[in-house]
Amino acid sequence: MINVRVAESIYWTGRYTERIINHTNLIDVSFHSYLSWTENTDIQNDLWQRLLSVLGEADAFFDRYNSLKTRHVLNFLTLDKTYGNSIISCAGNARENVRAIRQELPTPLWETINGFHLWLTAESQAKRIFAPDFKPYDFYKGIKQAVTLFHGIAETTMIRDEEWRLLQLGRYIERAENISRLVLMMHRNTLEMRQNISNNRYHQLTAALRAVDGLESYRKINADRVSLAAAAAFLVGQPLFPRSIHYSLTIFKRNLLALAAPEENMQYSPLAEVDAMLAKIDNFSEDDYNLDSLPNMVWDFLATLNVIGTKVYKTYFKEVDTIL
Amino acid sequence: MFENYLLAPKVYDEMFNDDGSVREHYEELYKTFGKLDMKNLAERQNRMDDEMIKQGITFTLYNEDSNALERTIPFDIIPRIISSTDWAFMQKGLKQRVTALNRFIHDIYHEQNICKAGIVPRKLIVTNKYFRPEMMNQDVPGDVYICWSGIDLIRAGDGDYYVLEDNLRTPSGVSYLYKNRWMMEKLFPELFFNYHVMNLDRGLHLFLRALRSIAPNNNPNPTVVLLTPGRYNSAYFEHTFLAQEMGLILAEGQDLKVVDNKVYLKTLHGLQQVDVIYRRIDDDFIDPLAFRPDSMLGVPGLMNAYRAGNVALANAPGTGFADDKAIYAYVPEIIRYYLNEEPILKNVPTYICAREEDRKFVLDNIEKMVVKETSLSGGYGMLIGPHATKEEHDKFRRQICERPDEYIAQPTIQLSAVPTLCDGTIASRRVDLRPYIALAANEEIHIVPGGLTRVAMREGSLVVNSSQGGGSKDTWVIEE
Repeated sequence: MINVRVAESIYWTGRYTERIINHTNLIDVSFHSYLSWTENTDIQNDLWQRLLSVLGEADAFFDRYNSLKTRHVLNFLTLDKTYGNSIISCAGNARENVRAIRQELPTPLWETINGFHLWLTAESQAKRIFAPDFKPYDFYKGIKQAVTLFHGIAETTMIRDEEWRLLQLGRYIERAENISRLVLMMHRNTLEMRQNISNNRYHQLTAALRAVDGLESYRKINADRVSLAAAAAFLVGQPLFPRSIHYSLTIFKRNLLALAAPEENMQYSPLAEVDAMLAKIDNFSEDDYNLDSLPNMVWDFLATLNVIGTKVYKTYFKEVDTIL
Repeated sequence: MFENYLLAPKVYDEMFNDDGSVREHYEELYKTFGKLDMKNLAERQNRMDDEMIKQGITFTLYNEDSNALERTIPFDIIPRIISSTDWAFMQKGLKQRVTALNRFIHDIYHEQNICKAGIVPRKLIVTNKYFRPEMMNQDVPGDVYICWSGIDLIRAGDGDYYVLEDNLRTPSGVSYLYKNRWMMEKLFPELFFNYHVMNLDRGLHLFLRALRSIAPNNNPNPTVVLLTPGRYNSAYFEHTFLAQEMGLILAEGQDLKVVDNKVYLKTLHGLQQVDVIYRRIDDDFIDPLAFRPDSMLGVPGLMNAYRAGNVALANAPGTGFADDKAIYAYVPEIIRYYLNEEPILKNVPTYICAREEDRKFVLDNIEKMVVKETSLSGGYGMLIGPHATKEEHDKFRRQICERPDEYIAQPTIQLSAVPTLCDGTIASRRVDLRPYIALAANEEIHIVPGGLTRVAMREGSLVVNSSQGGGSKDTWVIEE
């Protein structure tokens, strides 16, 4: 029977590892859009500015750096240990969590996350991002692969008990939140590009889809139709795409239902919120994903996900007095 | 490979006889290593070091700037081999010693017959800071006080084994013994075909059995937890290792809760009762209500639950007085008193500075002696006379005069040596041995075959503690 502290650590491991993937994705979007259409520093600056504001981290960035140079932003989001949500910080936190509970998890999981963290630390010490031969594409691919490996090992080695469910809860609530931010970012980039030729808008949308490795899946469903509404509908509501908000919530709900909690805490269960959010998404038509209404929709998601996160805490990690 | 190996004078070499010939039980190893070249050996060594970092087989060292460093204990790939006759002898001696010490602790917390008989001075015990008056007349489950102990052995120039120190509180290091074996099996599988090395697997199994044997009310299916100070503790790797290997629940103080004098684990479903706690937290910190009120690591009310007989603690609180360096001098007498037997393992002659005669001798001969502060461990607060400067001698002389009760001294005993890989050559380095002993109810004793061989990595050094840069070696006991 798993203890509460361990449960919380596993849940956060799920969140932190997913957050790493998310940051990598968001960097990817910006990178792809920027590489594909401009040498113009103003536009570059705007892109990074938008990325930071979608993450809500613009202030944190300017506390540490004075200009939006690409390498500064990349270093901030990736290897800056002083910033709590950088990839290296998330990897450090995930590692600390797994280290604290390594006896509860299959050994290869610990070795993977520890190896990954050691690698990032070495890269950070080598100031890799500022090196002249820095290859962002390979570097971020390496990061994605490490985290994917972690979850792949979890998938094939963990028994499907409480530990597994908690990892999934953390992972999928984080994913739902991250995809919301990606949609927000895609919206802003598109909005800014309105005046430009349509070609750029196309790049904006495909960059966002590509960042979640979803462009190919998107084509299977939408063929050559590329529009903000269709792309947003895909990322938010496509039940078959494993990185959509709909899919994330469905998996989240499945694990929530399978995970027992002390009876006295059941009153806090976030099940109602999850159901309501899923119903809302099911109910949307593509028209609802228009340029004007999209931001409110997404901010609404983020607020609900926040409530769900708080309720997860109260349901599972709050102290109880029931003696078994 | 061994051509340039120099035997240290007056030191017992585990591998070579004084005339330079190879000892019988080392012959196969000598042959196998002889076929390897130095470069190959160094490569295997490096590969292992990387592997240890990756696996997080580390301990944490806290330095003065409070920057925690995760370090590996240097692992040396030339094993230390113990012959089956030596092991049989050691085993007998260790069983005898641990049985007597356990009875001694029981006696001290009950009738104190040994003091009444005038064998151990009562003052020495009650003034010891590890003596716990709270334990007086407290019956402990199975009468087991020292469920898990580590007895440090050394081998003097004549090849005789001596007990250097008893560790009866929370001895650490057993995880390294297992990891060392695991690495050797990976590195030199061929060696294990040629040697019948005693298997370690049952060691922890029997420790688990000992822990279960002390569950209150003979509960046949007890819940056993390992209480750890948490991930910032220097031995955290070991705690996770033991929990995983023995299937214990790894708990921090905050995970446990006492209700109505029973200890519970906070689980996802509610509170689950705990029967046995293998604690890796010092007495002072286990219960802020009973001992240090500022402890954040412990469980408030734990001692009440313990006194009510609802939970077993391994080791029992208050065992520390018995492994004190001042009590050490009395252990041969303790063995004779409780078992009516002659001690099998020798004690290093020990001068107790509180005794006037002894003190005078120590002050006069300090440059030849090892001086230890009685209540410190881990190589802290220690003077090795022959290796120290004149200033250090004087400093210790002053300290001994100021606080004679806190010091003991022993003649410098040469630790035995084992060939060790150092900077690309094989050199003689000193070792000790810490076997681990599990004591279950009914005085049933099991010893993990061999023990942890710790090695001083600097030439001539006698300090093997990992906190002082010591390393370790795999330790083989040859089966008959």
